[in-house]
Amino acid sequence: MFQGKIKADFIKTIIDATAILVDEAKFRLTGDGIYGRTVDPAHVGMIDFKLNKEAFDEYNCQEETEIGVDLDKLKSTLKIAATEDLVNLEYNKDEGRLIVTIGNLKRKLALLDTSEMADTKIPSLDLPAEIVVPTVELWQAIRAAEAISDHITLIADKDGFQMIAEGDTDVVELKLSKEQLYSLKCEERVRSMFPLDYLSDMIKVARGKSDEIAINLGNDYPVRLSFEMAGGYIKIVYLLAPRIESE
Amino acid sequence: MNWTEKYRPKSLKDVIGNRAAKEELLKWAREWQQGKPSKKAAILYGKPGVGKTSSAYALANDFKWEVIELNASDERNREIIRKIALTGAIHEVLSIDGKFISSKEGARKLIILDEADNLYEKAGDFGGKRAIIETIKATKQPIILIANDYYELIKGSGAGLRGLCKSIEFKKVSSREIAALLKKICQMEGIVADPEVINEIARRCDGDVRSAINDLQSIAYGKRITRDMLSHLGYRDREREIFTGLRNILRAKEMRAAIREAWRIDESPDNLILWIDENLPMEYKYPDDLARAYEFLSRADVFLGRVWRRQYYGLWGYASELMTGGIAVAKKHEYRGFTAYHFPKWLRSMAASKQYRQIRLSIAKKIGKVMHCSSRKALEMLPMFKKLFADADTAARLAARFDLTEEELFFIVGDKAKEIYAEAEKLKKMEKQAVLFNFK
Repeated sequence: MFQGKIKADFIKTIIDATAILVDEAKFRLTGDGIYGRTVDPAHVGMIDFKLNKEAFDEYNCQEETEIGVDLDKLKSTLKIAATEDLVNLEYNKDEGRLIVTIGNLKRKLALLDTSEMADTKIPSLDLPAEIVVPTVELWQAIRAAEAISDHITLIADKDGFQMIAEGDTDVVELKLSKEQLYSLKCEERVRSMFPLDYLSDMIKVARGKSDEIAINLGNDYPVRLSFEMAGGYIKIVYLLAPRIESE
Repeated sequence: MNWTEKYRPKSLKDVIGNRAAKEELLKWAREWQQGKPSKKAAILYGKPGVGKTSSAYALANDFKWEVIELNASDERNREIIRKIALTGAIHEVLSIDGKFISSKEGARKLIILDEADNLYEKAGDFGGKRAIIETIKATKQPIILIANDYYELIKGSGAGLRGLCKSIEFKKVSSREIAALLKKICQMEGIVADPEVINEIARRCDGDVRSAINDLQSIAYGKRITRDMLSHLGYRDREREIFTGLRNILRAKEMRAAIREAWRIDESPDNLILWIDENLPMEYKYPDDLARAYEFLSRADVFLGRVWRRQYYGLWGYASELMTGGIAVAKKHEYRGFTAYHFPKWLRSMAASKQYRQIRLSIAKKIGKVMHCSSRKALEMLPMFKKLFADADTAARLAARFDLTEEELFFIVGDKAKEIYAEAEKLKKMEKQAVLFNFK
């Protein structure tokens, strides 16, 4: 039996954050909160989120369970709730459905069989550089880059952080010195190239919700983007695989 | 669990048959391993069930490659192929087992496009094959295309594929090898099987390993397989086709897919409804789904009734769409795993009772002729005649008057038929109307 009451904005954010990668996802309901880990069908992007029970107004979970959710369906259900509305979520094993209550409206949502959904483990990555960047800056760079290219290179060295997108004829470049960053930990220069569409979707989730994004970067290695919201009670970590540049 | 899944080979060396094809495939994979393949993609083609898909997955397992798959169930248009296959093809892989190895260190993901000759191409969207070609040209990862019909794949906009891919043909697997595999499965399942039955299954499947395993599973209800169980496989060839179709209809996620599937299996709606009726409860486990589905089925049946009465076959379309599309959208839950489907009991019992019904009808016709009523009316009276026939004397007179055969008499009076028939023949010879109608 699970029951939780949460601000619509929070649960919407989590669903949107997962839906950029997959249509169906497995969520783990535990005594501490809700967890989700998923990889997209191309195995290029991954999400690992935690929705702490403190983010909820009410939270009861007696027994740890997993539920399989059709994200589009849940999204359309949540659409009617305004950001400040409270959404009540209820699930018990016997019923087998997720009951979403918004105001006086109740929707019983059929769930998916989780037995054939893979368990995603998050790769442990040795990423030498960590940069904390203002979300606004990242978003502007992504927007500008999308106009000319479909991939972007992230570079960090001991003096700062750079994003470069090269199109057929044009170049977009964002350069942030050490002083313009929230923090910078980088001994040696690192550089990796990533698909813009994924990166754009991921940063869009953080935009307006979290002022800063922590970026862990390596050399031709995946990037880890992490950010928090709701006073740190919602944590989202994205991993993104780099483009293979040479053979 | 479905045995074809349970016993899917883990390693290429466990795949039976097709030695030459497996060798070719292995050579291609090794080229990738060394970083410089002559062809970046491979086409595995051949008849269904000969091990193409199994080989692709087994290969990935042998080389520890992550698999990205595009199943036939997905709507594989240009956009989806680009989004999944192309994106996957030019990026490193985030593997779900918790490790990251870059392609420089030899890590690969294998992109498998099953049923590549059967892409989703609706009007105006013929970009599927072009998207595949684009993907192969750009890929940094190995790609396998699987097709039943090689020429369907490389025709039209797929012409470019031939030069880009290494084409490997998979041939039918010999019945000897299939029989050996079936025996092994029986052993692992703890089933005692008549070797002759095993050989017969292996022979009948015509080189199709998957259907052989399915056949084996379908008759292996108990722990014994005996010779008489072979008769259950009598309908197999047609059944197999329908079973797949049925599964696709019942599990279809949208109306259109279910309707399309019904066209494909080419069964008339009045037959198809029996199949659906028989197997619906096997598939739909939730009562509310089942109730809704039967609602649609009964509406379809109403249309079938109208077709019959008005002899207007235009109404078949409504029946057909209700019984396929209707029941597909009636479900709110998703069903997975293996379900054993059955031949419609109604058809089976009708076939078994055919002789019985024929005799009954011929009796009714003879009664009707004498009594000046329809055979249907006579059929209603048949139980009463059975009572009258209880008296041997009356029975003989009636039998003579109705001109019943010994077989027909047996149907009415059972063991006494012989005597009564002899008596009736005598009476008939007398040909005296008066005698015949002088009932006591």
